[in-house]
Amino acid sequence: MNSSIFKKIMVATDGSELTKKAVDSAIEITKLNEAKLYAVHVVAPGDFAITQNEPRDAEWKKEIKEHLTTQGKEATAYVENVGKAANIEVESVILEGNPADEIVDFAEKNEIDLIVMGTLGKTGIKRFLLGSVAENVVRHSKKAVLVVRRD
Amino acid sequence: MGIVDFKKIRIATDGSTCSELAADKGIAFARLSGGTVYAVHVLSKAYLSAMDESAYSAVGTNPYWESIKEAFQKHWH
Repeated sequence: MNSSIFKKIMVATDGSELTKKAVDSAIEITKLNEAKLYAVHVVAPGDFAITQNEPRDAEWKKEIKEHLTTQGKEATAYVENVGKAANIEVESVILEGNPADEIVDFAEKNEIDLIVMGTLGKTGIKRFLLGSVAENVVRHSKKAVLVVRRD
Repeated sequence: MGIVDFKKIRIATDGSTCSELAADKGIAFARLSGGTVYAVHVLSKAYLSAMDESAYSAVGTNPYWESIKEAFQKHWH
């Protein structure tokens, strides 16, 4: 019997403690559906621009980007490891740009059936119930979105 | 079994086509996870107060109930 409803699932991770529950949920849903899981991290170097186009900015930005990419790879590697333990197929993807836009675009282009994400991560401010990235994905994606809150 | 097991799934429906799509997914998902579905429809106070008693009895039952049942039967024969 194959009654799975989601064939391709993606989990957006920023590697923070807060997205771990989203990862757990994504893994469980992937397992139940015998689906494929994409672990997606979006590098957003724009957030870290501190000066306005001074000559040394280029060097600074390059280093920041490298650092963020390394962090992103750690975040997706975490999903791969948890996935491996659960015996599911995980593909890591690193994107660059505005996180919400990239998540929505990726889901569209790759015909993702379900987007799983946490409510707030690194950019989160506790008083907001819904992180801005999650909010924008929910608003703009045509795909099903599961927002996982932490306990 | 993981930390998250999806044993209780609440489906909020207003009977619209959109919420039927959501109900379909929710029910199919509950079937996979072996969970229980709690179908919820909220009658808004504003809506109710706009209808007097006789208008409400004319409707008889919740007009959306049929669509919830239909979605349910589609997945749980």
